[in-house]
Amino acid sequence: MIGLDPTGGRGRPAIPALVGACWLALGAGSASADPVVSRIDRAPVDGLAIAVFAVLVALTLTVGHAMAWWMRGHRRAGGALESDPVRNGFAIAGEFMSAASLLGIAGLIYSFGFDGLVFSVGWLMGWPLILMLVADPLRNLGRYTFADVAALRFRPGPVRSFAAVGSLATVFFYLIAQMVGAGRLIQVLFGLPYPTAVIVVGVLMILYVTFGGLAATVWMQIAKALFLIVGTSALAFALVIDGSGSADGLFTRAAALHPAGPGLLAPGGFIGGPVEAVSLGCALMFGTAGLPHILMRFFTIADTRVARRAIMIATGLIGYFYLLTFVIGFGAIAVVLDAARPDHLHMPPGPGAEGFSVAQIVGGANMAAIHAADAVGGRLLFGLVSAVAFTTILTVVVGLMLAGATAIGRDLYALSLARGRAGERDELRVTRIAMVVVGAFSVVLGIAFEDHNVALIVSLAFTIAASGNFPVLMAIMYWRGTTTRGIVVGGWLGLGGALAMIATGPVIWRDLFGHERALFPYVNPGLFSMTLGFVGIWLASVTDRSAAGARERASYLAQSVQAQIGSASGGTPADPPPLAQDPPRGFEK
Amino acid sequence: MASVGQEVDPVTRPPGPSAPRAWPEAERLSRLPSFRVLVRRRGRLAWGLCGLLVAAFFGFLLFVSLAPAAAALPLGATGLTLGIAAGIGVIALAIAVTGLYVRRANRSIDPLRRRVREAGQWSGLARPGAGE
Repeated sequence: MIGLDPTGGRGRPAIPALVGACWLALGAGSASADPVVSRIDRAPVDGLAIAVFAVLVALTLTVGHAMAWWMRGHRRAGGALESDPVRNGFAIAGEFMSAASLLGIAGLIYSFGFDGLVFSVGWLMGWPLILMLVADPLRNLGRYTFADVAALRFRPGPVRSFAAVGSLATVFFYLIAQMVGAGRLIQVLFGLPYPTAVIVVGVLMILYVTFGGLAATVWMQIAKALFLIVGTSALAFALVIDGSGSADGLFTRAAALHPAGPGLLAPGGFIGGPVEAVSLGCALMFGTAGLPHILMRFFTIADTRVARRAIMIATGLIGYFYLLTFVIGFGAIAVVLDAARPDHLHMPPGPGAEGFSVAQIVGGANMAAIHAADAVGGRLLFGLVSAVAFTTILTVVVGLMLAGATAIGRDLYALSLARGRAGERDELRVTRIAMVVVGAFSVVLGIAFEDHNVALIVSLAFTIAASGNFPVLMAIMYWRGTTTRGIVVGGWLGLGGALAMIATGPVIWRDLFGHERALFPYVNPGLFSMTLGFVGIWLASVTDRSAAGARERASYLAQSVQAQIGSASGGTPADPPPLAQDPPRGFEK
Repeated sequence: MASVGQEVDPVTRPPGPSAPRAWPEAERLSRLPSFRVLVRRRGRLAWGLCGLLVAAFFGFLLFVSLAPAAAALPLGATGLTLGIAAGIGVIALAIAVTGLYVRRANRSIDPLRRRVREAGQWSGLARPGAGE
């Protein structure tokens, strides 16, 4: 039900092209007759931009690691970091804000106008919800993720394997988006063919994660958040100042240049109809609450009041960031489509350019923000924004690969398949192999999803989280009738339903597999799959007559008392965060 | 504290084979008037604000998807439209709601919570292996 073709008008099936693309990547440069390659030759390669980019990326990584190393000696002393809401707020925001949102939302607005705002608004909505309904009670329970909460009262084995598969599916869609974003960046910055760029990015990231990049430290997140806020602010203000000489406002100028005309400011360019809009809204708002490890930082702050204030600051930062993405999207139209700045399009608009399409932008619509930086701020801002985007993608990828590999290594292998009998070394070995496999898969999928908007791909990750994890979490926390059977049936139904509807929907069935029509009509199945999850939990729980089910229902009271008042220690979780935690003893027998 | 420290089983695995485990202290606490006040206040605050946000956000979605022409109405000369203003308004509302919740939770819910905790012997659910 997408009004315009997200493949940018080319509409070619990606799988056959994928094989060719891999071949192209290996023999890069030799096939210059191909239009894809000749197109790429026009990417604005520039020494200064690359230098700025390289210096900034290196700087962020070194500073992050140096600070982490320096802080390690101070941690035991009960550092000031713990009690500082501002720094923690930045760290929490840093963990959530990603360059994929910046590139994706700006790209959506650049192509379709108004509808990008729905993503900006929706991604912020999850925050207050997660704070009020999830974070506070979870803190009182001393649990961090829904798998850990579930393990309090329910049979942990089946819940854990469901949680692991759910995390993996979420992580994959998230990773694809990051790969597409990073691949496009490297393509535009260095003038490489896209598939080569994605492979380079993938190899770099696997190396980084495997050799020492494991700690996505607080300081790294703070640096990332600062960078992202500063970079996007600089770009947004440059865009606003650039247009301040004109009599028309930002939105009017954008609408005048864009092929969609005044329709650019009207809804409906990308999201087709109310069902699609509500479905997407469910995914964006409720998916945040179901994301694995999203609020880790909230739980590691000792003082609840400080933790809440930190979240408040994070929400403000994230809201500001999403507002900027919106300004940048419209600003990008105003400068990239400006006939006086022709470097950013393959075929600039003007006389003789009949049927001009915004898809002519070098590197695809995902690069709209990057081109906007180049257009208003020259090579310096171009290098700066690219570096910000790349480092933030890198830190997100580190976290995602780690989460994905842990889901395979610990939850699926060590705790489920080996039933807790695997040694630590086995688990580590499987986790490392999983890391490489996850990385390789995301490279292949990143190439396949070349022309898709990254915000759209991320929204699918949120759909999965909203359909599987979110209903389970809500049922565990707020419904006394929940039983293990309900969780397992409803969780798998929601998760499987979301995956099946995405696979048969327009994004994969039509665009990726090249079928004429999608079997499932909506791009985002969130509304349907989330409902499926809730109904599944309810139905399988009320029909559960087992003694175990009765025990589980009876234990709700104790859990709810604990969720309300916390434990004697003031509701502070005494355990280390789950990522570093040993498998719970006594659970997996 | 001591009674919980001996527990090595998860909550749902009572020493006995299949009888539901009793939680006398949880039951006693849950009948306390102060506990009821806490549950009511916290519930009203959290669910009320969530309901407000859900209504605002889905109202916004339905507005722009059902009445795109109205959402495209310009406000002033900058090209700002009703729909864009509404979206920015929802973002502002979300930030305001978060602020309100943090304030209320820190100032009035937490003291209530402390009072209930002091009224009982509650020391938390059994945590396997943890000796608290």
